[in-house]
Amino acid sequence: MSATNGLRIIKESFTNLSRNRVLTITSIFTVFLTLLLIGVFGLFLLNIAYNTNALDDMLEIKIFIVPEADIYTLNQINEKLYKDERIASIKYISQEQAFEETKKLFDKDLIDLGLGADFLPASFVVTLHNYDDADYFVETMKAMPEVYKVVYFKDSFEFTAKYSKWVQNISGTLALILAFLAIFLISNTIRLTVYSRNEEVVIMKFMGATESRIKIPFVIEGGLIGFFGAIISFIVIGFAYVKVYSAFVDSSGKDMFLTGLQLAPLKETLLMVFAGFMILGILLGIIGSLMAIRKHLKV
Amino acid sequence: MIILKNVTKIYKNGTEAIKDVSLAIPKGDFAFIIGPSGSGKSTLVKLIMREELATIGDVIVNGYDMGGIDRYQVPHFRRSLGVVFQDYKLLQNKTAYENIEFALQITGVNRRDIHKMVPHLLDVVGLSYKAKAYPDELSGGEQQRVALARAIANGPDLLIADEPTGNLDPKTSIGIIQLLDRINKMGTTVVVATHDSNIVNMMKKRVVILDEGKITNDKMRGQYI
Repeated sequence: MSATNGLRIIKESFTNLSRNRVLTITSIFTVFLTLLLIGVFGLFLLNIAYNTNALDDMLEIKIFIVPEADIYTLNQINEKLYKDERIASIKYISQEQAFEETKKLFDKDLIDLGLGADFLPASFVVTLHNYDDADYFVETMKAMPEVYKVVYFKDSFEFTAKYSKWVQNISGTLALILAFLAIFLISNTIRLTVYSRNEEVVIMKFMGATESRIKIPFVIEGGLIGFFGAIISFIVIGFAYVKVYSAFVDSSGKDMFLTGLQLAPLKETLLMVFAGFMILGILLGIIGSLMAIRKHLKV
Repeated sequence: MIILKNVTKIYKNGTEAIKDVSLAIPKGDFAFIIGPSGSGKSTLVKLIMREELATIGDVIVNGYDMGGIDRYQVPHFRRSLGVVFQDYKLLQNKTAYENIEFALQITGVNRRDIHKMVPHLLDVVGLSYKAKAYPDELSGGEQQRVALARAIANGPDLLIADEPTGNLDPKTSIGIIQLLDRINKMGTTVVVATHDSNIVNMMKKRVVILDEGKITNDKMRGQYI
């Protein structure tokens, strides 16, 4: 196919889409809704994956020891924890290590403020074999006089895990329904185009146009519907992500939650969303077209 | 060239439209296929154009065996064929020139050749002065002439006209048939399915009469009685 012929076919496709304007707009809107939902769901999952380490941390129980505790007391606690059969792993974080970690979170050097390692407590980070024991274990630890504080994000973890599952299920189901709806609507739009161009198809057929020459404009029409749906979805999702990103992340790029959670990087994420939307949108359009052609276009 | 060997066509609803028909139309011939409504002439035309396939028997057109032809070969077969319909089938949003141009474009003829061929084709059918007219600005006869120019655009070996004068007055009909005769004299085989007795009797060409799906008469200089 020559470039001129290719351009002519694309022009034909645009003309036909504008002929069935209402159906074209409805189809584009459905693709837009489908991708919007897939986008929200996808971004949520992407950010969860990006923060896997932070989420794993939520399962850790952090036992902070009073800053005045000496090495003898620390050894005693360490021994006690090692003997506890409920514990799967133990990690000791000294006052110095804690100070280094804390410094990373702040722009200004803590030493400038006159603070040193001794103001932070040493801690034991433990994981359990069975988290049904977690509440009782935490209570036992809190009861120890050498323990200054016990931090356990059980509720946050359960909430996030549960929330993630719900979002996954609802978005997945809705996206699937919308994807089918989009394919159905695109298929209907193309079916009407096929009907309205019946005369043209008959002429093409008897003049000896190849099957692909007759079918390609309809496939392009479906692809264009998907393309426009994808563009609109990308603009909306992209705009929303930029807004969320700039609201939660300061100019230096560090997270503002202080929880260790971070948003997936803006540029890479938007690029991924754009590529994903384009592929999915155009694919939905082409599938819809092929369905209509297979059923209604007899060459 | 058209060869039909013991052809029977039974539609899905059980209607037997063609019953054991054998027929040969040699290259360069001019033949009328006539008969009353329901006689099977439209089905015969459809079998020749490969719009329908024979249930029994062989249909060979321009060297292509309709039953055995690969679907990818069908467009090539159709390029050896020109078709004219009773309702002209012109695209209303295209001018006379563009209608012919479109037919050439879809078969991949390059733009330079198209610009040479279309004025020539319009000249052959005597419509050079109406090149820029849209179908609704043309009379029935003129529209059929454009359709004829389009049908011969690819230089077909065989031209099939299905009721080409069905929507035209007698005077215009004669003009169209004379044009078909001229095309035939240029070497194209012409087959006309019609029930217009005037043009059949005037032309004194081969007449194949169909009745209830069977050939009841086949005369070289036939008459429509």
